[in-house]
Amino acid sequence: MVKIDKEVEVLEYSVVKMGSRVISMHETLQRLYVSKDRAQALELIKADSFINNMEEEINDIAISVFALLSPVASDLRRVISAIKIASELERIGDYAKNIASYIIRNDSINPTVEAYIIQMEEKMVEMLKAAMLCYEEKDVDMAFDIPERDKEIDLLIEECYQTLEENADQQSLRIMLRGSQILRSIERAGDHTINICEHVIYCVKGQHYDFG
Amino acid sequence: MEETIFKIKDLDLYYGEKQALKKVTMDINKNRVTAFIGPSGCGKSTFLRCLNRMNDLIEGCRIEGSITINDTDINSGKMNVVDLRTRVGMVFQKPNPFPMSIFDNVAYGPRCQGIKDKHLLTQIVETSLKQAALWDEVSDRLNDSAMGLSGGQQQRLCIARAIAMEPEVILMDEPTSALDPIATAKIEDLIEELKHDYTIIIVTHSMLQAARVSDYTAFFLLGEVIEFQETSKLFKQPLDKRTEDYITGRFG
Repeated sequence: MVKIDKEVEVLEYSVVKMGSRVISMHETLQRLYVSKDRAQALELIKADSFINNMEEEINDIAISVFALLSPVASDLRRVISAIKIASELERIGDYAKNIASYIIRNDSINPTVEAYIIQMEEKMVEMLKAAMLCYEEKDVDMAFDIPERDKEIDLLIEECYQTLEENADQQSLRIMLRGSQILRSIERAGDHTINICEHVIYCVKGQHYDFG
Repeated sequence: MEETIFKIKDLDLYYGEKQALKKVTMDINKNRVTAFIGPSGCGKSTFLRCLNRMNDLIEGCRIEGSITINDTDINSGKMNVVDLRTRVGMVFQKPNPFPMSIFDNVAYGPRCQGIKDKHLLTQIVETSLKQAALWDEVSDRLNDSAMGLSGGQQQRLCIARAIAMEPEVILMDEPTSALDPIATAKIEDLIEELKHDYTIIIVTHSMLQAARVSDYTAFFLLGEVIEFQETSKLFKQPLDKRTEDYITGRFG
């Protein structure tokens, strides 16, 4: 094993570890939607700064690899993908933090919206787990399959908006607008998860794919 | 559309019984920098030396296949070897200035060609030294011995000496391997400048140097060209597993 192999492995391991942390943040959210436990929500907000630090550490390792080991070809793609995936994870972590602070600020979420939130969050977490697994295993086939699942999240959010439109009055409109911030955050987290799949494909094949 | 200067087709080269180059085929584009990389003994320097027939001097060396420069076969009777070497200059690994003054080093080639006009020679020396980015450092001591220059300056003097012959192509065989990083950077900058007027072919052991200075890179292994393509593609996404293994340092 050459030196760069060891360094890139450390880098990729750090990204996988960061992924597990972000997944666990969103799993905590799943429980929060039900419990509305403020202490737990505060813990989650604190956890985000840990994620931010992890991204910094990953960037530092990558800079050392660039400066000292001059990566080319597949080594270069692995380093680039690690940086980019860490950045996607950081954003996905931010959305968890935003949702947690929203839960602290607001007790009531429209029950219809809440049902959609729970469904969407579940799909998002499963998708993120799959994306991180496909990164760990550099499984390109899986990376091509995962974005299909994102469409389910997009459909759910559309469906939710439609249901609300049909039953809209002044009161529910206000509550629904609050809940829609959460819906939107989950949807965006899903988009960043899809980007992870794009980076895995780039890492393995050296080609850019845009899943939209 | 790129203009081709050298066309090499199915080139085999034997040192006695041993085959050192196997069916090498490539087109080398004009006013571009082409780098040859590969492990020691892969045939890259041997191939470079074929391009101005330096291998003619080696006993038992035999060539099959064809090399043309601007559509003229360099190994045919039509091509005089002295003319060829005028058109295809060479710079070697170790700077090798002649033990004479800086001026005389650069004027040596033109004088051999019969140029005696002092004014013209002075002009050629000045232009060549300027093109080799050495003029500013030596203009006030042209009559000093070239042996007193630093290694990096000596190598640029050798480039000036090659330029003085107004070649079309400059072959460089590991031109910076004996130089420090600053002198290396100067030569690399110079290569970038020179490609506007000349075609440059460089053999290098430094993959980073190939990546920095060249437009095209050929990877040689055991006498064969494994991959030859644009440098940016070769270093970002090589097509052959053996190229990938070599450039990422996992060879063998």
